[in-house]
Amino acid sequence: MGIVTAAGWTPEEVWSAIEAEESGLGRLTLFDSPRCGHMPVAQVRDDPAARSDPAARSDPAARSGPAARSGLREGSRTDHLAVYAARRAFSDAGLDSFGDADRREIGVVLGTSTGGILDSEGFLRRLMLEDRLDVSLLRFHLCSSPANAVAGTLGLLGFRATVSNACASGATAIATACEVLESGEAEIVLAGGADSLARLTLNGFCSLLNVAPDGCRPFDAERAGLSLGEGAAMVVLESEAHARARGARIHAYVAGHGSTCDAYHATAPRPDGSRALAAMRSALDDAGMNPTDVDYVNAHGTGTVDNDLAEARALMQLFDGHPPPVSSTKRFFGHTLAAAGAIETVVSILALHRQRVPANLGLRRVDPAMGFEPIGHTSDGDLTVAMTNSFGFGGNNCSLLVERPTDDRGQGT
Amino acid sequence: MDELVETLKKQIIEALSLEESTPDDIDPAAALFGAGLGLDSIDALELVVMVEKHYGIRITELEIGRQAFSSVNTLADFIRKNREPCGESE
Amino acid sequence: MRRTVITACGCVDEGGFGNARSWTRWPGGVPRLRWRMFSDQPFDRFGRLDLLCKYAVAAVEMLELPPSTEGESRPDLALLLGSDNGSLDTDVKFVRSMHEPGGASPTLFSYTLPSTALGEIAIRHHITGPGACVMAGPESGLLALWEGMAWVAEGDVGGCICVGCDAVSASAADAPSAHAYAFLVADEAAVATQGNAPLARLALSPAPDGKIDQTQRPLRQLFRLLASGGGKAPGAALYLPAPATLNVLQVMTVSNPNGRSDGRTG
Repeated sequence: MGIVTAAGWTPEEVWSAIEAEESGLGRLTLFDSPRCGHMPVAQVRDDPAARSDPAARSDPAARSGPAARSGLREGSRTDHLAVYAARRAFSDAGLDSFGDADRREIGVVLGTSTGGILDSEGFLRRLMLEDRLDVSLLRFHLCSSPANAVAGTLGLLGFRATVSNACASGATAIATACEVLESGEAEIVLAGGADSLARLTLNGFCSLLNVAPDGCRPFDAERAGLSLGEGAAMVVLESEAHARARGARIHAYVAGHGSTCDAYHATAPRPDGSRALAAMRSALDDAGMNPTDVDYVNAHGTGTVDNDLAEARALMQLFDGHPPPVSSTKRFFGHTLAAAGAIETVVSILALHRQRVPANLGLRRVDPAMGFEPIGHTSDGDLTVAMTNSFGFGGNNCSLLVERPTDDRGQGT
Repeated sequence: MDELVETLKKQIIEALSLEESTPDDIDPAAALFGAGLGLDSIDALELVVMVEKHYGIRITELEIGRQAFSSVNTLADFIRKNREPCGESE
Repeated sequence: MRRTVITACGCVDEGGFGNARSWTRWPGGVPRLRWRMFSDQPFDRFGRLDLLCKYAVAAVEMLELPPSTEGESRPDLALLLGSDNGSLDTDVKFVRSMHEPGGASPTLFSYTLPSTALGEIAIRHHITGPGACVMAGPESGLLALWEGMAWVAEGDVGGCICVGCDAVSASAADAPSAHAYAFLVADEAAVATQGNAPLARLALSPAPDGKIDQTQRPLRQLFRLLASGGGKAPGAALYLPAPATLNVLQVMTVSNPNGRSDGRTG
């Protein structure tokens, strides 16, 4: 697994933030935004590990951000975040020793919604305000760029696709990678999501009046919207047989996945949560499990009035009024859009390893309409199976189930 | 003929990409939202942008917007009351 | 693994629009798309869609799906969209809007995601099964077709609408560079029990000895074959390459639905 967020650059750092209940939200410094710059965002700050890096000492500010830490020579911010996480996951899976021939067979499925838009905004700004064309800023615009950067950096020539499913992209990428493994098209697939902060998304969500001025408070009675974040997470998915044969360490199994569409509205979720519920049921069916098998739900929980209510309705129906521990971790990392599903998968796996349920940070008083009480503080749990949900604009819903390695079914990560 | 009302009709059609509608199709006294033009909550936000863009009036509270956007007539009244004294519509 | 067939096709491109039943050539250059060109059913929302969504929705309309209502959602039907440029056209328009007085356009914002096209198609036809937008360069549409065929063959869904769509306009004055091809891939056995006649069968086979025609867009080749009834000719009518990103040595054969399952002349 590899991860980079506003709350940390490694799984250990991320988990420390969760234990300390420290939010990654802060002031926006990545770019100026007269209309929206006052909104707290989860911006990836400098890598603490760079402090001990001699090369970073000469110019700390420039040398410890994603561009310096990724190992990628050039790319958009999203490319750098993706490659950073991919390389960490690759090493973690013990694949650094793989030669060219073996790497050629490894696939990449990556979810992104912004792609290189942060740089492209610079191109358009220059064109509109200064009448200057600087096409160098467009090189990394396309959504397929981060997947290509990951594949190019690591020499991976297997199945490659970019999934652009809005906020469900990261989870959909992992589900798609599972299908690739199941069909035998590849034995190993790197999957996950990456998105950077951008003026486009910040202005866009602000124009929908969907952004919380004091940070997101999922499921809270006074929740006022989401907080935008950035980051990346990648997992190495592998067939169990292949993983065991080469003695790889298995972090978790992807026990099942399910996807549906709301077919309701471009940006608002179906209020009754019925298709979100169907995605969760579909994941459980895929895993051969019942709702009672789920020990923890990492909710999509963006903190918007509509999403949290629809999701709560779906959860209450699925679990017959008695859900297991539920929390949304979005106040730690912000809503990282396409990266969210992947970041939250990694967080769910960390929760399973440590037998601890992450806090639903930001909760002061739960909205009684939810019908359940999210976990207010990071606390102990008896966790074998975790469900993580991601619901995107356009109504795409994706639910994943991850399982602690205690039996030998399914696939490993 | 109220010039502001006619101008607003054209601006609404442009802002909301109502390609199949002409200004004559819009009854200035009829409700803009719900039935009729089939506008939704995001369209209301788009009208907020439109009002600021053309008239320099910034609507910061949804409730004010909701009342102003009841119909083209109420919107025209709202603009007349709130725009700068020397402001001209585009 | 189930056998898969194509039961419907649709196209809107620089030449015109149509399906297996009829084709309409654009009289002059490519016009601004208007809903009444494609259907006499009301759909007021069409004019408000962005360029990518208009092309994708129009191509799917050409499939002539049976009508459905809100209460009869289709959970067993999936949607796959493959696009190289995705929402580029709207991305540019949206960024421009950010710099205008009044600020960013909220209605444009939802179109800065190519997956919104999936949402618009799903809403119109009440399709509630799985869906994904895949982006893998110029072969994105082809990838959507391959993935859709795999989903149906593996029994994940009963049918999949696969759309390859790219739509970008250089400026408001110029004609856009845009095309959309839509195909309904379905389980052959299910189609047979419904008494429908498929247009062609899909199968995978080793690459043929002859070279594959790379001069045309693969999905345009496929559409033209199906629209002309060529899918029912004996033998393998068309070989479609695998997108490079799939890294497989097979090709997709498009052949007579009543022929031998291996696609060879029988």
